[in-house]
Amino acid sequence: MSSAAPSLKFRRPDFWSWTTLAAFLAFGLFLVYPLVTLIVWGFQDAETGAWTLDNFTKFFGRDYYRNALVNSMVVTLVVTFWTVIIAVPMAYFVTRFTVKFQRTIDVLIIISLLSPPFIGAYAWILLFGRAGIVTRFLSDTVGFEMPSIYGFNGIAMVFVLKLFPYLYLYACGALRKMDASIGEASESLGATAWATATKVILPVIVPTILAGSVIVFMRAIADYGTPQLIGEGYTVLPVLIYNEFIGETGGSSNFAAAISIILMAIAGLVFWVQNWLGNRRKFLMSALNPMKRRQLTGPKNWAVHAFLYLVVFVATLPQLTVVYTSFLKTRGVIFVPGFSLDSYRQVLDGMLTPIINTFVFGLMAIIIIVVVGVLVAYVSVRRANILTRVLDLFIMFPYVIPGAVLGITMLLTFNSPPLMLAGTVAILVIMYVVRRIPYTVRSSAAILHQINPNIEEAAVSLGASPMKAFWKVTLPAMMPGVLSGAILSWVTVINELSSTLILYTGKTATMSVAIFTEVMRASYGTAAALSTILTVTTVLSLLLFFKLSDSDDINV
Amino acid sequence: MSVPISIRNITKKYGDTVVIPDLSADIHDGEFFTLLGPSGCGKTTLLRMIAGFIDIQRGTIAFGDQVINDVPVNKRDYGMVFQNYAIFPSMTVEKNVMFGLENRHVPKAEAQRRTEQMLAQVKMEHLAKRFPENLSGGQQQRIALARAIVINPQVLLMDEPLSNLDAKLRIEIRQVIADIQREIAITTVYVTHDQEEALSVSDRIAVMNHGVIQQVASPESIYRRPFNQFVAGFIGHSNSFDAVVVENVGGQATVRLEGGYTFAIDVLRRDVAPGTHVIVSVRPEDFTVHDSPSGLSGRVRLRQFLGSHVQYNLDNDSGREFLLNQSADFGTRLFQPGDVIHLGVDSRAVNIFDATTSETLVEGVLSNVIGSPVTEVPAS
Repeated sequence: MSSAAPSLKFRRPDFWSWTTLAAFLAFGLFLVYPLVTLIVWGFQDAETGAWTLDNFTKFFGRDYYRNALVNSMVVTLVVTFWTVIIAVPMAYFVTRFTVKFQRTIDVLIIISLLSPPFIGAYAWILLFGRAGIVTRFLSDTVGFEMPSIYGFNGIAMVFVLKLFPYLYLYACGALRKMDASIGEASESLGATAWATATKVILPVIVPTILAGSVIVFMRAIADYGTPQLIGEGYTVLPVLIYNEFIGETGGSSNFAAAISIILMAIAGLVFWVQNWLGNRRKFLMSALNPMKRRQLTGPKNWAVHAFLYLVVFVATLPQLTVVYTSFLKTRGVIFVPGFSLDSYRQVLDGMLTPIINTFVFGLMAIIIIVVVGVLVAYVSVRRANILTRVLDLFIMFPYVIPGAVLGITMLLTFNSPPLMLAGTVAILVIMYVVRRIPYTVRSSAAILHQINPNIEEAAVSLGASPMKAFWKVTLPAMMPGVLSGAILSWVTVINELSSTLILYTGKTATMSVAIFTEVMRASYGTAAALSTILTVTTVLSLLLFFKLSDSDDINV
Repeated sequence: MSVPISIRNITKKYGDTVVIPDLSADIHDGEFFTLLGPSGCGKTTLLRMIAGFIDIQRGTIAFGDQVINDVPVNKRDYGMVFQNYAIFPSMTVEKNVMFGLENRHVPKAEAQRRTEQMLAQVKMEHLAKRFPENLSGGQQQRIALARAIVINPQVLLMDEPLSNLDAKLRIEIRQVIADIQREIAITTVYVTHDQEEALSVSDRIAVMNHGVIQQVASPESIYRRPFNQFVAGFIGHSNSFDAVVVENVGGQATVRLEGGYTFAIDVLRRDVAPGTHVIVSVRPEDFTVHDSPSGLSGRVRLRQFLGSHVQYNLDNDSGREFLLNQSADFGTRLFQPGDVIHLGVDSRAVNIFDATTSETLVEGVLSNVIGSPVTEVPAS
């Protein structure tokens, strides 16, 4: 068939084709290539570089390593189970019943979600650790000896409290989308409130709960800071990887790579299973008539409030503890009675660099994230082709790659010319972009799906060039989605620990690294001051976002 | 300044699926031309080819003398109104309307003046500074209309502009559109699947099915003298009865319906031989109720009172269902389900189709489709 003149933007390579290609190459270089390198390392002998399965036989051959795998699985599954038990009823109560200070609850939950888990771990040590405030108080006053917070119990508790907010926000989102008539129909057919909740409403949000649980699972299995601080003898995979890679006890990069492969395989498998299950049963909902909240009375009302407030209090307790600790008087690293600004003074004297670094690196990363994220979202929604579909897949990778693993892949790959990036600021910024861009891309793409392509066509039909149509019409309409993705990217960048720990050098340390090292050397005062600064920055960023976006919700 | 549009031998395929096999049409200068058809008939594809959002794979489209195949969208001189308004959410009403003027580098003061004038014309001047998010569908569509015509385009394109509005607003905006179109006499291509809308606003209607124009004609002709059974069935309702031509002497003919009812008609083409199997098509309102038990009989199955008229679902002797509409004035007797009634047909109003080709056998009725075998002007 003779094809008459290819018209306007669809055929000729234009700005968007180049964008697609550039993004594809960039992700190929900074994400796929390092991953391939890691996999290659995992199958190579440390000494000779020959192909081998020794790293894997070593892992599965020794109890110590096998146990780490079992530990990781057990703690992750237990944590996922408990977050569901806590978060789903909370979401149900908050969406169906009138709850006093419901907005405050939501904001506190979001805040506790966004601070890094290891700060939670560290706060629980401050409270219930061997020399913890509560431990000492109980032991001094009533002679009660606290059960140990270290090991499995501590890790599990910290994770549950840090991660239930993901599920809570997911479940709230799904419940808010549900039309009131579903519940009304159930009740009109004679179902009790309990039957309506368990037989009609819950099944509809099961796919959402599943998706939320997978996020919890991913975070729990990938986190390094928490088990390192509070796990003590209870070794899990990320700790093992880190020790093997960095360890002073003669670790091996090849072995660390092999363990990383195992960890990614588990994460990838879980992710794939969830996707498969989720696609099999999907309910499309849009609430024309959202569920109305009902005022409970008497003991039921009491119980619901008590439950919600207790969970939120316990979840926010680490933050409060950290802030409180930061104002304690110190001598050296020891607390003495009374309050002071000593810790802040010490931080400002000796630890200004990490603070500045956090902001500088964070800003560099977020600018790249927003620009690239918007463009990638646009091509993947509006100019879909094979290349953009592969790009979509790349964007999903960071969800299943644990931070420590990503750090290792980058260090292994960019440790030699021509791309000798190890130790530079660039490698950190690139890592932040790769690791945190998915939030911005997904959120931008989501809003773009809701924007009718017609507005762009209308602009072009009124004489605007396709580029102008994008800048003047589509981009402004996308802004709310871009912003809500960017805030999440920003907050998670400035709180990033696992990858940074592997890639930083003395000069490029960030706040979270500084907090972590301070905690490791038991300098709790300065750690608390730094944590407080980080938390305040996070909270201020969030408040600014709420103000800009005129909402008090965030998509995770 | 508006221009005629000529469409010649347009083809559109998606992969192996042919959406438009080979389509030609002429749209006259200043006329309100409607593309009407069921969903998937290719009408929106054709409109979007005129707009430039879809490639023209083969054939040409010209505005006046200028072939626009290679003209980029933003250089084609038309205004377009979209189904879902496509109002820019990040701009005020005024900025929306002014957008096209800015792209055409109209001086600021003049742009301002024309925008105000245009907003007044669609009665939206009081909302000029508002953002569109809280405006109703009807208001948004008025703005979309203003935005499309404020640039004085050569052509106005409308893609189902009323389909997202409720029934009342649909009629209101329909009138706004018709009024403004007549006033500025701009060549307009209007896409809809709603036959009532098409009948009410158009100068001419092109009925499309499977990417092929079935007939082009005025609303009256389309309704009264459909070229084929598809058009008869798509525009309004038509009851079809199998029939045989009993005799035909110079157009004075007699046909016998299934069940034996025989009647005379004088619109049949002269060349239709006696014995030809035909389909007789009768609109529900073109029956007369006989008092005597003669004519076409039907048993009332369902009665629906619709205000201005009453609609009956009847079963004929062979169990086939057909519809009868009767005016609902006070003198009219209402029938009950189970009643058997006898009907005659208004022989001027019936249409007769060839049982094999489905095309009309009524004298002088043409499809007026460019490139179809018979295109000369009807004799009568």
